[in-house]
Amino acid sequence: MSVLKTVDVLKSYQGNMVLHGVSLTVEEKEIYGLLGPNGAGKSTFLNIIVNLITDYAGFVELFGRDASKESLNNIGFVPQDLAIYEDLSAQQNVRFFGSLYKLKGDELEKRCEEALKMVGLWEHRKRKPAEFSGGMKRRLNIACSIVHNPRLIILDEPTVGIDPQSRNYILESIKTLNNQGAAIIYTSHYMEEVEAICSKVAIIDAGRIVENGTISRIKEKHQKNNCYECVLERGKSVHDIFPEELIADIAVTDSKTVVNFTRDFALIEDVMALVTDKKALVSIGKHRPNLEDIFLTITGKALRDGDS
Amino acid sequence: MLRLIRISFSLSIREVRNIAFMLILPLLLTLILGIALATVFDSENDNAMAASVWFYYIEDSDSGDRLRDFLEEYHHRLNMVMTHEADRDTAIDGVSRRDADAYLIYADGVITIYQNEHASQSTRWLEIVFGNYMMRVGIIDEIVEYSANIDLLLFIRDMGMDLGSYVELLQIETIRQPDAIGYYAIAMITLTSVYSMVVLILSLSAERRRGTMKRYLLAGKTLFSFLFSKSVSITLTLLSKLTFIMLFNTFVYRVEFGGFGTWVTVLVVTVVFTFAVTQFASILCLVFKNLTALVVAVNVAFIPTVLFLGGAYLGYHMLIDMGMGDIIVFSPVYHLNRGFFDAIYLNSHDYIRQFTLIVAAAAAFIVAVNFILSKWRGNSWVQ
Repeated sequence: MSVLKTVDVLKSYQGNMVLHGVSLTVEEKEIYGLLGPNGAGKSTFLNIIVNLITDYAGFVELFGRDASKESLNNIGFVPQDLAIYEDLSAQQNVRFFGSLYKLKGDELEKRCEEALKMVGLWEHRKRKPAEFSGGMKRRLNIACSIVHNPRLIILDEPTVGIDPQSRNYILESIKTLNNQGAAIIYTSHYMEEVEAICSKVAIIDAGRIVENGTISRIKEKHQKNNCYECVLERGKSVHDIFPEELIADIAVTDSKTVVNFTRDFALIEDVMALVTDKKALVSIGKHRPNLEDIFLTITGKALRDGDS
Repeated sequence: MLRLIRISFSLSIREVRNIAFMLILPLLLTLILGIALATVFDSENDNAMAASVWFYYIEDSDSGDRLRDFLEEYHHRLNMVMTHEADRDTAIDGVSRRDADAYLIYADGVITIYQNEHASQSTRWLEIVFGNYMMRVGIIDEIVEYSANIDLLLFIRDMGMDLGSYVELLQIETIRQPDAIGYYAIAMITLTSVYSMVVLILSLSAERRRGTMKRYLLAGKTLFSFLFSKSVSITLTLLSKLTFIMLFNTFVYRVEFGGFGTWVTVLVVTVVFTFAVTQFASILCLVFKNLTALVVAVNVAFIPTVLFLGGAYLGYHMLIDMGMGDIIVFSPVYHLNRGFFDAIYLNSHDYIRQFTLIVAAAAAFIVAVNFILSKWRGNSWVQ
């Protein structure tokens, strides 16, 4: 059963369409990455899912039913802002937000403990967020959102501005939550994070889902027959190996050189047949783009400063 | 809703700002307002002459009860007679003890008569307000000795001095009660209400800025229930604060707020009033996007309001002194104010009920407007 299904969700602000019929399905126990440049409509879409925006067109189904108060109680939303009370201790924060979901007594205390342990803050439960580092605040933000044991957890850029250790801890926590049965929707601008934890991604741009599916399928889809990566002998360049008219573009990384040819080569053998200096070529293979490459290919490299 | 109110209240009493206000506000009000008002209203002469007297009746030594019974039985006739006899605009209803030359408090069988500072020494009559009743007795110098007739009808009509066989003056004592207390108490209540308004707007502003408000809505709470619970919780916080202020002033500043009934009256009136004010603040929040600017606006608006009210009050007394009280009496604003003040000072007065009902009705109306506005704004208001 899908935990989330949206069909043709449309949303406009003052006549400007910000979502053009977004359709997405998230199955149980999936970790779904939602990617997009600033102003693409991600936050609007997430706010529609969690009912913070109600004036939209289209269809949103949660846990196989129309969105309702009960279904919303099964969602844990981790907002990008630190939605915590500075005057309360970590434990009081989690307890407070847990009580909003009608948790009380021993059950509430148990859930508080589990949530704080999940994010590694149990030892610091008596301290107030004002004394916390940025990473600890982010983790507390997550604990406050998962205390009611939701079936769907939506994280809106939960790792912004924190150190690698906290980021790693958060990613591990998300995996653990997923292993315990929760479906996850994860937005981030850090592509390596998304690649590390997500099974599926949807790339949204200008209010449309422009790519959607498993990461491996997307990578395969965006693998090009004219793009190869090769390792060269020291001191050699691509121009020494391939005829000049074949080379369209070159990108050099630490150890590899990625070459865009002027025409497609379905097989490596076809490329090898054109190599002029085989001794200078250590290895060659089809270039497999990473998620960031694909993201930039789809959404473009132009700055989105004007978007919000 | 009750659960949400409880949660919201538990949060508001944990907020450092609220606790600080609770401790700082009484100190500020006592030190600054007390001194300022005492200076303006000559509170340095705050010794009111008071006579504790014991009424006895010929056939019954428990004459205090007899007096009360008499008033209850004949109050309609008394009203009529008093209206006829009284040449002041205040008549029976609408008179506050602060405006009378003197007033009477009956408790535990002892009737204490207080003479107000502004009582003219040349007046022949001592006006006494007892609950809904006002009576006049002759005054000889200050209140050194007087006689009163337990048959009030006769007593009032005759204003005679041959009534000594019914009343025995037992003792005379001086009770310290600053003249400025009236203004002082009103200023406290007004400030408390305004503070509640500011606290609510600040609280909503902070909740929205932090994003914690979103969490309520994510948990399925409506915007209206959130705003309502905030309003109630802040009203309750302010109630506890006001109780603290009154206790503080009673025991530290020796301010006399009256008996238990007066306490309850002040608290009830203030709570209803504050609730209406905080609900109104919610509406302002829903209408205006920039809450920080709204807080500034409320504070700025408060200054001319205080100046206006202060000026109006001074003007009121000037008109009274100039014998032009009739002009004021016909003003609806005057009646509204009198209702408020009487509700505070005359806890047995009908104005308590009337005034509270009026404010409660206003509060209910504001709640309804709030509900409609919340629906109109929707959850997207928190963005």
